[in-house]
Amino acid sequence: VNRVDRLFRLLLRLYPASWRAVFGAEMLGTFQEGYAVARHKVRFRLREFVGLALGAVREWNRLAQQSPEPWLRSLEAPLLVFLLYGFGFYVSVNMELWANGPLLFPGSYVLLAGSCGVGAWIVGRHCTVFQPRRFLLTVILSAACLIAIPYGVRATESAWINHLLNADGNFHYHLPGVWVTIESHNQKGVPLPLGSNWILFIQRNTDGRALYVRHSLRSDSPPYGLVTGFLFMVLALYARRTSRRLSGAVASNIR
Amino acid sequence: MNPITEPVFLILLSLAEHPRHGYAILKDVEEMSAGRVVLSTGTLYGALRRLLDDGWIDRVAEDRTSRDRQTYSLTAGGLKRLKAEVGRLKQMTRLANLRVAGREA
Repeated sequence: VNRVDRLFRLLLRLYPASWRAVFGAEMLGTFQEGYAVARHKVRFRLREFVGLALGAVREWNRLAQQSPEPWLRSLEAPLLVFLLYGFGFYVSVNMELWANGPLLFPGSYVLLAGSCGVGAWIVGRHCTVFQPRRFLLTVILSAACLIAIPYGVRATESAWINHLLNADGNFHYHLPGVWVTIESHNQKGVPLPLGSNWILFIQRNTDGRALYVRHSLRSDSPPYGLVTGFLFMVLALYARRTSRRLSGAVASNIR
Repeated sequence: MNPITEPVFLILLSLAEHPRHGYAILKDVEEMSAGRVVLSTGTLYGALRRLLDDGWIDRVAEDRTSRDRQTYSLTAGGLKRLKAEVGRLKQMTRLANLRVAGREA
């Protein structure tokens, strides 16, 4: 099996399992026939891979539309996700679990979003409030996420702080309405800019260097928490509508 | 009845001649459209899936020992739908000719 075939098989995994069982081998055969005689291999590959990804999205969407579960009932899981996320957000902001306010490392936000996305997907797949065993599984998984996510974030944050201190470099990033600037100074070195609201974040006793953070949040910044909460809701709803149990039922009419 | 898209129309036309497998449909569609419509495997099978669901085409194994060679054929319902679409296109072409001729006169 060559590399191109392997990539095609890998992309085929984007489709639901029920689709692959019916069309997977046939699609690979068609692709191989076409690739063997294609004049512009790169263009052919690009078109095929993009077509495959778009086709997978369409198929998942079709399954979601054809789900035998009523829409109102499917909303149960996403609402639970939104409440869990809202609770986590409220606790983090109000109890200052993130030590000094904002997260320093931009990757921490990606990690948080990724973890919450996986959590939303799992809850969407399994949660049914009215089926106690499934609900119990959801509660256990949610509790595991609540413990694992802060540990993951703390690990990336401390690695980032160590990196900044060792590199002795400056760093800044901004999103609409939010600016974060981090600088590492020697205690007797560069003075801080006048009139700024720098915060002394951490001090290393060994070499006397400190990390200064300036974080400003404009009052008209977009409601990031609310928007991400809704995105996770959509993800959970999507997972619910395309769960394996339901997609298997839809696929059976083709075989 | 909604008009069908050009790729679906070409797939149905391809199968109207005789049953074909996936790759043969791709090549035929490309030839019929003089290279203008080039379908990817993902797009083709998405369309075939919808046509199977609607009952416009059938799917039969060309070789029972192999899963990667399936042939598709037009059903009576598919042929009826194709004829209706051809009729619609004829009517549109006639109307277009009349309007254009009227403007040129």
